Amino acid sequence: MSGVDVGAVFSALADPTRREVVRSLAAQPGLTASHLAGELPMTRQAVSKHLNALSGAGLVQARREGRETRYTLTPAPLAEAIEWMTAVGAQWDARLARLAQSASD
Amino acid sequence: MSCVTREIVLPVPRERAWELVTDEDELREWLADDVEFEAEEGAPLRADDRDGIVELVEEHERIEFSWGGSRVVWQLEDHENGTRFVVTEERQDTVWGPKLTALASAAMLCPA
Repeated sequence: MSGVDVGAVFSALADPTRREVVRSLAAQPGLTASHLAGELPMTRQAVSKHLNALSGAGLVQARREGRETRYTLTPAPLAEAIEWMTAVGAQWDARLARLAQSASD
Repeated sequence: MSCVTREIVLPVPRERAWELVTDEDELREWLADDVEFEAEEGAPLRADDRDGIVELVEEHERIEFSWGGSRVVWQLEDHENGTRFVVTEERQDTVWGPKLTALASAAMLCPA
């Protein structure tokens, strides 16, 4: 973790759209810019710009595969953390829905 | 450093909300099928396959407990339509360096 420019990380993630890109990549590592543009309400050019900013901050890694470039979140622990949060969040959503039912009975 | 926060407004007064989150029979209705729970600091708890310990109890206000590798906080607050119930679950087993910590807070994964 040494030699990391935390300022660059912060500024890269200051933009809510870029955080959306990060969340999409966490959920589906190895997406292409076109796939991301299909998932998020923005153009492919806008996605590319955000990916460049994220990769400049060391948060995203590009990998060429034939004619495609695939993007993966780095570091991997963040993706793992987001997965944990998604799973645990879904469990609480289900429990609180049942609790709301109990409270209205 | 990973955490999850959820909240819900229960259309009941605080006393009833407290009962819903501390009474074993009530907990079996929403928390897990199999629940052992006592609102007392130091009491062991079980919810299905998770074991833990009740760590803090402030009556009608707050409960903190550990289960699995996580720490959970339940907070009750007054709300115009009843009682607000705020849940936070934070994973304890990961130690993150400055980059991940910055990243998590910037991505608003874990409110500081």
